[in-house]
Amino acid sequence: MPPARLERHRRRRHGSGKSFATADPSDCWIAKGGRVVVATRGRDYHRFAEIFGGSLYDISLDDPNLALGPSLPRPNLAKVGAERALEHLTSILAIMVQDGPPASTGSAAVSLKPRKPSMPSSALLTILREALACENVECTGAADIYTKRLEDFKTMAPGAKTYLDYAACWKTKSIDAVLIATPQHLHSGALRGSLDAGKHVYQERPWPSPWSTPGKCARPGSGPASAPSRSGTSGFPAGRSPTQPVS
Amino acid sequence: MGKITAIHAHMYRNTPHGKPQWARPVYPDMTAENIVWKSFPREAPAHDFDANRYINWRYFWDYSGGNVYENMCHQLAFWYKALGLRIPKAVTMTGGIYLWKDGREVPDTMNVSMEHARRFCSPGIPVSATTS
Repeated sequence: MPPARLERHRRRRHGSGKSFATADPSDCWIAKGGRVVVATRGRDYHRFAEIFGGSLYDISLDDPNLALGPSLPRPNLAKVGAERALEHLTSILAIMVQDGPPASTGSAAVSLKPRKPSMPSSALLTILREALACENVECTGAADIYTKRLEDFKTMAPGAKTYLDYAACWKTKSIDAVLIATPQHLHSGALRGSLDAGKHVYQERPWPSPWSTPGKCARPGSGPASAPSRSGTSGFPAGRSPTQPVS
Repeated sequence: MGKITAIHAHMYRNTPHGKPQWARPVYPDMTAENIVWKSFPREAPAHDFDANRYINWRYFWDYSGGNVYENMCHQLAFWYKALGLRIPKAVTMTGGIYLWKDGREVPDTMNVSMEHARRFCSPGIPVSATTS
């Protein structure tokens, strides 16, 4: 979709709010500056964007193949998101602090070829493979705290840099977009730092770590939003509180 | 089809007998030398190095919301789409670690009930999801 059309669509649907919202219990793109969110599955999650004051664009709106998103494999979503919403995408930095079991090392890894690797078992490498299949996309680096995984990554993108701390790569101006596939509690810091650095973001979680950093990613610049309760009765309307948990 | 008043959905994760449900193997090279453990918690509480915490982070409240966060959302996504559901009016959940007492903190069995606002039916759609 041309950027102008995307912008018109966004304004028609959600006005010109500057804040962003993640919108779906699955994966989503957040465009640079927090102006547009691409929710990749299910247009009915627009309500989330309204609640968090964000703006939203759903790729399923104009693609009948995505009409029933939940059954779609993740790579398609990454590919469509990269192709349609971020047409000016030129480079991607990958952050993968362990999501999924490690790819096997040894002969399988050695035989991997750039651009056409066999399927690694890491969630992020799977996404990255699809992103690299898009035109004008180049992977410039990856961050992980598990060094063995970075070795797997190098077989996929031989020329890219590797980092042990994802914060180190935000200063690199040549990076346009960041893919985040981390455990839940690490999404928040990676997302905030990436957006602050002016990067596009693809992340695997809708609400990064809601209980450790309530609201920080839901509505920048305002107070913490109410965080989901892990247990107990907070958040229930008066008169609807459940009974105390049985110990 | 008449008026929809309730949805029951169940999810059972089958694993080979004796294999802990939802478990990922700890590889021998997952050591303190190969993993920058001090970077793992970030804003979560710090712990001594534990490869199981690293690879099976979904078992621990410090890093995960358990099966509800990791899996139930994908089950519900279809019904949210099909019925135009919004954020529920009320949610209750019961569950526990009934089978896999292997150190995990999140329940291995749970039952979640959600009541949704009046939209397609009256007075609301209770959505019940059981995961085990």
